[in-house]
Amino acid sequence: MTDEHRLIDEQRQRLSALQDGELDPASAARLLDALAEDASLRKTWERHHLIGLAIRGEHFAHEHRMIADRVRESLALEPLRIVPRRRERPTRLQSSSLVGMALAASVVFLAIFVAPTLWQEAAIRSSGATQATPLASREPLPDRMNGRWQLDRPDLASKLDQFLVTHQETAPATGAKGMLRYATFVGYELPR
Amino acid sequence: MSFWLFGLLCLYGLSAAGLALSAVTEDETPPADATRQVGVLLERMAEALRSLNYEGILVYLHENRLETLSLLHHVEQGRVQERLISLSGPVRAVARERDRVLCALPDGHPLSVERHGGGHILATDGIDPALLGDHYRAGILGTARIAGRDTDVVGIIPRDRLRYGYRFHIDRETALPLKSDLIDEDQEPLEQLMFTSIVFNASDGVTPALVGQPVRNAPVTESTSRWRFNDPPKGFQLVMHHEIKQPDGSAAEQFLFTDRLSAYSIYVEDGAQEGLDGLANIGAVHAVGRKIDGHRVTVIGEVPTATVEAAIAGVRLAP
Repeated sequence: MTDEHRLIDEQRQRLSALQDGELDPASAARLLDALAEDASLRKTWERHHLIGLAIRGEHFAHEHRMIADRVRESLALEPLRIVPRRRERPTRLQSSSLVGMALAASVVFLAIFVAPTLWQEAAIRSSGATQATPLASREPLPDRMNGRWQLDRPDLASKLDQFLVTHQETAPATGAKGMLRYATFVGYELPR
Repeated sequence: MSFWLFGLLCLYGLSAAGLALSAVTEDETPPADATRQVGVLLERMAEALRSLNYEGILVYLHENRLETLSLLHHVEQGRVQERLISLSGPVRAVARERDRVLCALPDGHPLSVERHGGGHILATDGIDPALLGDHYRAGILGTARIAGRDTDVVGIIPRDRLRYGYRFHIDRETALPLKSDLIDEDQEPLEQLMFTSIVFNASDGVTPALVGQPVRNAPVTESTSRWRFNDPPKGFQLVMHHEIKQPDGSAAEQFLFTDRLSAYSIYVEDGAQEGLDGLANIGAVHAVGRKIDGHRVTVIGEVPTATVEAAIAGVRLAP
């Protein structure tokens, strides 16, 4: 196998990992760069999505084929990178280790710097502090599946996602939160 | 695993603090000066969110889960580019430009939502506490340090269970909200977002222009379609109605209701469309759907279950 073929094969594997949500953010950024520059890779990405739709038995429309081009056009207009490029591409194992170390460092950061802030905050308002309670619980919804939106139908979850993003874009009633209003959208990881 | 558990415990500490709203009590109407002061802070915050160049790492606490997010906000020649990417779990991302929002989720369709220009968009022109008095109490709660920076804490507390409120920790120097809590009527946090690190980049000084009618004073409108909305949840009014085209080419009508802070949309589609039957939620965003008069109706918004249920209960097709 030539180096070129090996590279293409690696990128395809990364595409699969991205669509499975298993690619680390740094690799995702590099892959997005590659997608922006490589038309055949974009076509592969599109095919992977169509295969995913077919496997899940979801309806797909011709318009979906335009998504990759629209993403590419947007990426072409985007001068910034999500993370700085590295000179050497780490191996998968190195990459995993680095991500693990980064996560561990983040948590240590939280423990050392954030916790005192929170406790200090508690102290500031100790006079008004109430009994310790975690996040407020909400009204429980009827038991459903564990999927996004508690639905076991990805096509329906996608539709609700589309409605939600349209709503948030049309009505930034909480616009004072800026991009943070998408935290709910991005920040929900499903149990895996 | 134990590291994450410790992280969770750290944020529980914040919840435990409870941030008592000593400045504004249940029956107290804040004096005009205080309202004005809150208004100035919130306006500065909205302006900072729009015009500053910044990037940072956030933690997001919801339903006993802790996520790490990366946020980038870049303004160049008045043009805004934004990215929010999950750093924990599968990569999920939202990228937003002036006329388009792109979303990537694992196992989901890539979403691309176009913004159709000023006529259909309500601008992010901040919050005017003077307009919220019937349904929220607004006040300055004190000060706190977040990400090593001094902040003023502003609360907007709902007066009933039909809406959520916010508690913003506003950076004194830049006016960015370094911590935002979504809170209920009892001021209990439902979700918390906090910067753990933030970097400000130089700006070229060209502020992005506001496009469209600000939601805070969008005029109340009447439904011009055949659909009627009887007895909407208290305080919510229809401010916008238009038709959207869905990815599969089908059309849907969108009706937007707001109380000047919280909002929900009612989507009406052809009855043959697949859709939600019953309730669903993702965090504090609730949705409810059912078939009404042969059409598929879905209500969605960052409002409590009771609100979306009340909203859909009043949907009728005019004879």
